Amino acid sequence: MPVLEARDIAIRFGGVQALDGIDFSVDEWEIVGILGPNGAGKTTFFNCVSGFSRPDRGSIHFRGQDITAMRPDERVALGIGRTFQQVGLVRSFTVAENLLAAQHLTAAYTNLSGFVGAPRARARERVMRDRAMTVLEFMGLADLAGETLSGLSYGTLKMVEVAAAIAVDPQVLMLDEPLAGLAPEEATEFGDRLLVMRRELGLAVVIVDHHVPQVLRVADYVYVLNFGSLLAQGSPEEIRVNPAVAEAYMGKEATSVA
Amino acid sequence: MRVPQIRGARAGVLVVAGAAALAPLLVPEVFLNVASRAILFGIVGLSINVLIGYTGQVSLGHAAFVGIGAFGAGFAQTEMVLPFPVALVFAGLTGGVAAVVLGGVALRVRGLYLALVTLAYGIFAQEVIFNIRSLTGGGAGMPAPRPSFATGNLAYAYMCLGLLGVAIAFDRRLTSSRAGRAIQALRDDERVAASWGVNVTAYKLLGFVISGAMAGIAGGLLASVEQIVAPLDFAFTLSLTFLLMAVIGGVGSRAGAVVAGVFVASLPTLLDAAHRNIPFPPFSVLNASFSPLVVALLVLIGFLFFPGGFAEVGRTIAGAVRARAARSRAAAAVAVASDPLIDVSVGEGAHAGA
Repeated sequence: MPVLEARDIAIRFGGVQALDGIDFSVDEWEIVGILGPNGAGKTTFFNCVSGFSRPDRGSIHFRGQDITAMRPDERVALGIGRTFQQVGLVRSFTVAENLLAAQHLTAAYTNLSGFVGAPRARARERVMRDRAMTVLEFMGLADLAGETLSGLSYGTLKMVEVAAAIAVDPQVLMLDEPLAGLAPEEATEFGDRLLVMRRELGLAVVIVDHHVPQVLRVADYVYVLNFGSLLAQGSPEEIRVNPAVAEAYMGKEATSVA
Repeated sequence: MRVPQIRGARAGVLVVAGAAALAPLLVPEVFLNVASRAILFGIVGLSINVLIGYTGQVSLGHAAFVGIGAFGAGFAQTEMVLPFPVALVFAGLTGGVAAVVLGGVALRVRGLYLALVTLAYGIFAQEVIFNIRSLTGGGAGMPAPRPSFATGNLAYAYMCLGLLGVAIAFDRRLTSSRAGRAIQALRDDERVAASWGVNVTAYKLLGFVISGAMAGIAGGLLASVEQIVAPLDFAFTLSLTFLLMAVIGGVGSRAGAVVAGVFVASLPTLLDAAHRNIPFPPFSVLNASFSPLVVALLVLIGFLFFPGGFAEVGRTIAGAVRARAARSRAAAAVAVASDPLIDVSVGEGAHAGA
């Protein structure tokens, strides 16, 4: 059974058919890439899966359970985590505080015991701080724990955001353009990290990005969207040699990869 | 490097707390009730900071929560014959309920429209709720006696001070626990908060409830300062004062909120005292009636030079003091290393640091 499945998703914004009959699935431990030019509907699809947009048609399933009508935070509680194209962090928090806030659901103490500073809440907070540091170390960001966000580069902020999304402890992690703003060697490093992440955390990953070489390198399966429809799907090798994909949408970039 | 700084901060907190604990003893008897009001405005400052600073929702109707708490406490004591502590809890509950009603609206409207709705809410409370005779005693007001253990003005001021301490401690716990982080996260970006599993609707309402409950308790305590509450005490114009308090304190700053509350509440009395005792301008010109003007000027100056309010002023001063201390230490070290006339050089270094 797929971990995450979307069936026949369609959504229209005004006169634009943003998505039209998308079928999609992610299996356990799988890294799935979504490619496509700007405006192809990639982020809209993410929003439908994570609950920020309600599709006009179709359904979303998590481990067989229909979650189409669920609130975003309920889907997170089931195990669907995500990042955003614009950096999804709390600007007024430090790096470490962002990772603490991201552990909202795993902070297994009641708000009242937090307010009075009950021993249970304090103990739990210590565990959360340790976990925040573990995740930051895993992402190679441990030195930045006490930093405010204002001093960090865009690429670093994207990595902090991924760290926060990991701290949420999802089973499926959906990354919206994590490679944007990274230098080529940083992008390769992140690709490697993604492979380690999948192995060590047992994650399924959905990655949307324009960085075709990296997506084709790390993904097990790739969907290509265009104008809200599925243009192609298959293994990276199949996508690489797909003439329609190469010529019409990826241009020189994909040709050079192939 | 980090440890001494934390020690320094802790020592600073202790000094401030100690000074605050002694302050009521130095206030002349006639001004003790002013001091109690100032302390309670500190709690109101924290309350509005929870709403504006942490939850990111504007409120032009905060006087309604405070007033409803005041009448709630008066009603609970006078009509329901409940003891003072229970009446205070009741005041917090009524304030919280009043705020959650407004919070329900805030889930649907934002920004300027929300400001207008909260303003309408404040006026509604003043014109309608506070004029229900059976609840508020009408124009004559509702008696709100003090507890038997704090009937004197000094004892009452200390009780208020103690509860301000509790409110500050609560606020600290709030910001460093799960709920406070969730509320602040949704202030910055509701989608990000939701992506971390925060139920945005519930936590926005929680922000309103906490703010309203704190305001209600402050209101219940304010009622017993003069031991009677009248509708005119909580006119909606008071809401504007509260809003300005949040701004001059520095939005989102705990210390700024408390200082601004104490400052705004005691300003008329301070201006009056200065007016009577200092025979030259500007003090000979300004009296208590200029208090709103002074607050307005502070807001304007704040927007120009210190958008972060008192909190930013405090940070600037603390930064300058630390920098000077570091420089004088460095100067002293250099002097010790290079200059045989150690006494003179260290003296200069210390002078630079003073």
